[in-house]
Amino acid sequence: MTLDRRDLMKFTGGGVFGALLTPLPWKLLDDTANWSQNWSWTPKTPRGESRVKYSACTMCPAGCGVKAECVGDRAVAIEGAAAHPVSRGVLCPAGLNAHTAAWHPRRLHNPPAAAIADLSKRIAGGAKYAILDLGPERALSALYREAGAYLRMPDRQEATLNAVARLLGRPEGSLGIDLEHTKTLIAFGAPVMEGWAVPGRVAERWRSGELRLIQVETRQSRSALAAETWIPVEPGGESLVALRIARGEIKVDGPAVAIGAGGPEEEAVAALNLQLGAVGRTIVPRPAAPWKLAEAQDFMKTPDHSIDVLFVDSSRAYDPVPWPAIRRKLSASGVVVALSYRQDAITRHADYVLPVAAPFESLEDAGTPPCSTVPALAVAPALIDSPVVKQSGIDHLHAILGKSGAVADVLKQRAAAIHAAKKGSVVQFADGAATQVSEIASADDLWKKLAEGACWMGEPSAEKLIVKQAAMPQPVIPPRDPQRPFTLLVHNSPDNSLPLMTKLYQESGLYAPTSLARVNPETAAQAGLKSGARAVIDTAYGSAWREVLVDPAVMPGVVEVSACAACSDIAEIATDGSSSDWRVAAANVRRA
Amino acid sequence: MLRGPIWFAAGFAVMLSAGWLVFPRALYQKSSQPIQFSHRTHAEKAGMKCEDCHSLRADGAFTGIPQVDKCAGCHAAPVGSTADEKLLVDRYVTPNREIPWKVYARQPDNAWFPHAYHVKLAKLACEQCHGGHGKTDSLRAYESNRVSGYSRDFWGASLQPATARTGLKMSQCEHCHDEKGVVTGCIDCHK
Repeated sequence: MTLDRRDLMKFTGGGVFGALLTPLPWKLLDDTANWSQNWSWTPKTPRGESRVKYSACTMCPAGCGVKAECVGDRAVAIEGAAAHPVSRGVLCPAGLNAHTAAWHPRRLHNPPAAAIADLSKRIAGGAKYAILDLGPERALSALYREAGAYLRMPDRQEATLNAVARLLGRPEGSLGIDLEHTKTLIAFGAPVMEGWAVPGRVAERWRSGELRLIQVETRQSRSALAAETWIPVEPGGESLVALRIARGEIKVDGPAVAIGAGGPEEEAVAALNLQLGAVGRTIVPRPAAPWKLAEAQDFMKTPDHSIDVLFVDSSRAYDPVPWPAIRRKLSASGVVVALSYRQDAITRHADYVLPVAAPFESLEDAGTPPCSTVPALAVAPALIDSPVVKQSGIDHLHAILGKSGAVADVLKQRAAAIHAAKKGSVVQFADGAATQVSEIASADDLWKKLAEGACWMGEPSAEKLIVKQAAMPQPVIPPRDPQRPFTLLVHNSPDNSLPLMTKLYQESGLYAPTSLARVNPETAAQAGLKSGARAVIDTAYGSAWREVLVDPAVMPGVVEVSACAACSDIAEIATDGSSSDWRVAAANVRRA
Repeated sequence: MLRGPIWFAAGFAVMLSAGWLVFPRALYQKSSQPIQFSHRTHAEKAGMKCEDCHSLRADGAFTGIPQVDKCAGCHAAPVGSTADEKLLVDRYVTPNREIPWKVYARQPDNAWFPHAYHVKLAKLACEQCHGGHGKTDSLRAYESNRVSGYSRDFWGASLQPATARTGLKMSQCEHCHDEKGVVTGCIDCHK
């Protein structure tokens, strides 16, 4: 019997069919996927005996306790330290990825050698320089304060507390929220369940059912979904809801506290807290930490066109920073120097980029968490044995200015100040053991405890707040712009491009990708858009394009886009830079 | 008239046999361990328990396979007269060189398996994942996947149902977690 072409085809067909009924193709597919995990350029975790170390997360100001499994001196896996008295073992997704930040796909490596010399020359020549710290309250920040004019952006997480402080005639940063005795939390757009304050502190109260959450928000956020009551509002309508709550039209179980998201609603939210009796009950005084700091200035209040060299430390920025706000502070020949570990919204525009250490690559610290009722300090020892970049922002700045100083020295001074004040206690993450500071023999012993993985928690204030009354401001609904009939709504999202997060958020829908614009089907029909189309979003301040996702969960007339500290081009077209608020802008949307 | 179906059936039979009989064997490369080791002897004659060598530290970290200094505690000089005993002492214990064991249960780099949670919290017995490995007289050949490089115990145990070898894939982790009501997200195990 001879084999002709037709027989061969049939033999092959039978073979293919037979192979499909065996593990061969499926196993090869599986193994090929596994093989791709081991490409030579994929970062590998070291092999060997593992040890547990404790540190604190420095991705945001919450400073949650971290338990790291280390092989050699490198963290290969991290989780929350259960004994941390505030974070209680909880880490947000960004925190769980923090040990991979050093391998960020857009990691910055070598500074241009000429940059330091060029900047030194400019400053020696009399250029007026300032430092904008987007991750304030660190020991590093204390060194920045000593190095020159120190600027910080308005604190969005403590915006309500600061607005209340202004009403009471108190300094900003002097109030905290007694969440442990709060029954109802009314959030006006604040991302309560998405990384607000300290995630573990909120999560524990919410999970136990002891904290009732009322979310007043334009979009169906994760916080809105987790809330007992979600009150959807049109963009800019938050102050109207605050007024209705103050009038008793919406019932609230006390003790309650209202918090905003750092926008124009803060005045109304602060007044609502006075009406609800929150001040003195759930909003309480926070004692100052026992160390002195040089004066900080509000960046937004800095005169326009007044800075020749602006250093921006965006390495621990959590919120997007709109470039127009920075641009308008620069003089005609002004330059921006970005201090960051990865390409981000600032490095994109900066004239000079100086790479700095990523989280866990160097000794850091976490100060008082947002909205805390007591001052706090946690030391975050390095967890990566061979850092890609060793310098911090202050090392570069000192090289330019010819000054010196180290983070470790500042932290030791703070430990000495705590020891001298003899207030509060030190909680060790390994076993949860709390030691009164007054029982610790020396400042050195206290430093050693902190450096091994512990945090100092100060004592609550015994001061009674003098409560004043404030009338609820009349809500102002912004007028519609006929040229821009839609509302661009920008919301914050963690940096999705951390190595592990890149995979997870795409597979789980954990965070909305910054590449998408979500619109209601009604809005899509009105603007002639459909899912997958490319849309151009125009505001009075610029244009940006996004891929459209038609989603009935979005409010009609609204274009929802997420931004993060590493990707904030959308925030840049939501403001002219006169305000640090980038959340809402009138917009037009059209098909690209 | 039957010519077409015959060729089709021939192709079908050849690939079916190759896929079930040849491929599973060809996919794995066998190699022997650097020295032979008897878990049974250590357990029965020396009266040792699993946790004497494979323990959890106070901090919850797993010690894994003991380092050579642990072996040196008893084997500073040869105990017995086997060739492997002599090899252990001459090649590893005396020069204090680590034994390059090939670990059957080695996890892929992107997975994180905390023994502490499984042993202390879930109270799983060693045998539940490692089978009768702790009672064996000798170490079987280590089989590595020629494509992925992973141990057969992780990714290939179910390929040949006839073999009694234990193995673990992610689906098995998920199945056990489901059975015990353990809620896990991706980043609980993938770090």
